[in-house]
Amino acid sequence: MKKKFFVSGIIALILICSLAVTGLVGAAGKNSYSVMATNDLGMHCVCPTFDYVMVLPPFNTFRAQAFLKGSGEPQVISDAMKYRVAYSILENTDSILTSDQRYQNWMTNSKKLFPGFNPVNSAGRIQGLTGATLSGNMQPMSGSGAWWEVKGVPVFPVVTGTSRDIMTDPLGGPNRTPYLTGQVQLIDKTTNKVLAMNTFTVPVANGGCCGCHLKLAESYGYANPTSLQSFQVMGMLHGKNSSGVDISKLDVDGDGVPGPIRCSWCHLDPAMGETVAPGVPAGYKILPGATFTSSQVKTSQYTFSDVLHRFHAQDSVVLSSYDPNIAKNCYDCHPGNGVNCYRDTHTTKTINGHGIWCTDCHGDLNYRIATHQMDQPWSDKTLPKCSNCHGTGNGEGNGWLNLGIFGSFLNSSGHHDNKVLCSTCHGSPHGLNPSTLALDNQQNINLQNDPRAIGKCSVCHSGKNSTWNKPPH
Amino acid sequence: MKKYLSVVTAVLMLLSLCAPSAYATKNAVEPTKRIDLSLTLKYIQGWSARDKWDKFPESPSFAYYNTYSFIALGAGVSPELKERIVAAIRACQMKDGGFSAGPDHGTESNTIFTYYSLATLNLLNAMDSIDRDKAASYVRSLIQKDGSIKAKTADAGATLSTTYYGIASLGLLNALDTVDKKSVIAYINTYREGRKGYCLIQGKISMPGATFMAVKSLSLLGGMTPAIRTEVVNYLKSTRYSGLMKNNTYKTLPSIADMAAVLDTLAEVSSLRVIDNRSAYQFIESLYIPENGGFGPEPGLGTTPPSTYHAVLCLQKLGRL
Repeated sequence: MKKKFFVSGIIALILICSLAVTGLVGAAGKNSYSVMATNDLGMHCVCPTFDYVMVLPPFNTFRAQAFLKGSGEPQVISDAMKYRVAYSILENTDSILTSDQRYQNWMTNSKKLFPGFNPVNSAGRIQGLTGATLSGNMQPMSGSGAWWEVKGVPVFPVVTGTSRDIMTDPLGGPNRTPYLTGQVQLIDKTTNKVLAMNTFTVPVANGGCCGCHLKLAESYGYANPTSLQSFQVMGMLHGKNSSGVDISKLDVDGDGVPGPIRCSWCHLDPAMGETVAPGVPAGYKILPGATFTSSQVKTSQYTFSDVLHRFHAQDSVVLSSYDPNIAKNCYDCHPGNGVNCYRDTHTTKTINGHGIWCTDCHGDLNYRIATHQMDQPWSDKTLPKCSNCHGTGNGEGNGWLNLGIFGSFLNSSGHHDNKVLCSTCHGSPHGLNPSTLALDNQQNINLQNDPRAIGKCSVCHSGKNSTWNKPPH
Repeated sequence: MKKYLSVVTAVLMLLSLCAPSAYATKNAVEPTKRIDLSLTLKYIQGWSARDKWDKFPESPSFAYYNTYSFIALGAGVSPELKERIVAAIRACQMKDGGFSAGPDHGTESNTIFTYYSLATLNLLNAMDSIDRDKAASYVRSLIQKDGSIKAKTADAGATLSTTYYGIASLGLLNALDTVDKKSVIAYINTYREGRKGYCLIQGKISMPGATFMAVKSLSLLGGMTPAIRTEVVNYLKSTRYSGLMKNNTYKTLPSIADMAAVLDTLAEVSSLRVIDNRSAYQFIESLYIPENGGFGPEPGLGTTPPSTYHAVLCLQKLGRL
């Protein structure tokens, strides 16, 4: 009986804790504060291994807004002297990632890929390229609205052994979870009291590059190709382009083994936070058998996005051997692999009777190449605008955050004096509410018992109605 | 006191269990994978209704995928859609007679796009809508000394794949008599792997896609021999796509394009019976995406138009439509 009672108590405690975590029970015991967080893109790709080549490192960015609901107008909380906004990730802790072999591979190679970078900080914690740790405090930001942000959190898909492990491993390992559970808390700095908390999606997945390139290595004679063989075939093919540089003949760390190569060394990739391509770090060696010289190893005039998309969409060998038109095969490269990162409310809508696919907003690859969009990747000049379909009244807000990167959705704010980020109410791009992924909806359900975009005035305003409706944009 | 705590615990547990279910919006129930071909047709029709940046048919291959799928699924092509497709393909024909990547953004001719343009027009019985002589002349202009055919004028050389598209194009134009069949056959056979199939890269290993392209080219050129047929069938039986290799493990994922290549090749040599039809069907079924009726290119991947076309082709070859 005692044992039964003890077990029941423990279970109850766990369940209460889980409710508190999801925000259903306010930890502060009051409803006067609320906090919402989102990931900036709705998905971040990361390579599964970094031994030979790296397209994208672990790098996730979260944004949050917190509100105080009082007797008058609600306030957007921005006072970093009084408050802090803390974040953590349920499935990505230091101990979990330290014991993950794939993440260890990043830890080993990250120093070669980013000279001067140490994946562990002075406190012994895992850190990302910006110094962000797996849990900590967001930084206060200000533009037309005030928000909190942490840039470059080094998150990684993990094996949980649950049905949430939906991501196919391109290297043949066990499936992994690409949608991690983020937790955000608004904390009173003086009392250390948690004033509000919520749950948000931390998306991170491998793309389709490795899977396809292993197959490519097969066609080049490797019956059961390794990552090295796959890289050597890729390098050889890279050597046939105008640069003449076989990247698999570059040894950047002097260990006699090719790689690891970071694509953005030569091809500018604004997603890496750079405005110019830095070039291959000095001290690299050219391996025997190379047919190029160091004078050819230089930065390219073409962005990474441009060369990558243009080559795969236009090269005769790719077109004739694999697919005559990859212009709409977004998931061949972008996740993709069991992840289906485009999961938002648009997937359930139609235009003129047809479903809405990536290309309906972004334009297909042939169109994007023909209109030189890839020359300016990650820019509001080339990324889709909500107003293209929804009109100016319902599209982007009038506030402009001037992030210097990303499209107008992430750069905009609206609602009262443009204080509210679009993503605060609507969620992350590609995971917009109501999403087909339950985790994406949890935050809004916690706040308004409705998975749609925030539409109940009572979430932030005292004395206002609690019927869901479209608020002023 | 203990009794009181037990009651409180029980109440809390009940509350805890009820609350999440009140908010749940999506059950984690795996949807059934049964193929709903009416939904597949709807998905394909959706592509042909696009009219924003990508006005259908935005490329010859997309025109071909849709036309083939419409016909295979028994829906046919409406006169309005046929008119739209034919007009778009006519717009792809360049001055040199070849066809470009698309009516809106194509800048140069290519045998790959030429093939898909001709194959589409052939399905629509509209071959007379374009300048056939010029098209044949364009493909012939790409023939190399060794009998191979380049993809486009600017390319340095040819491959088995580009040669296949050239030969298939000339076949559709009834212009194969104008090529030196012997040298083309010899060139294609340089991609043959001893007692197996054909390689994408000379001297490497046999691949389903390369084997299809070689076999189709050889059939068109009259170069298929009983020995090649036997070896090709044996090779295809030994691939994972035959459904016969039940205990083998592979590092790479299987793909619908390779499955289609295997079935198309076996159909070409009248040997479809050698595969395990049920296993092949199960693989195709596993790639079905119930949310939209399309098919993914390989396990885990979402729907794409080419992979949906490949799945329709597979189902047709398996007699499952």
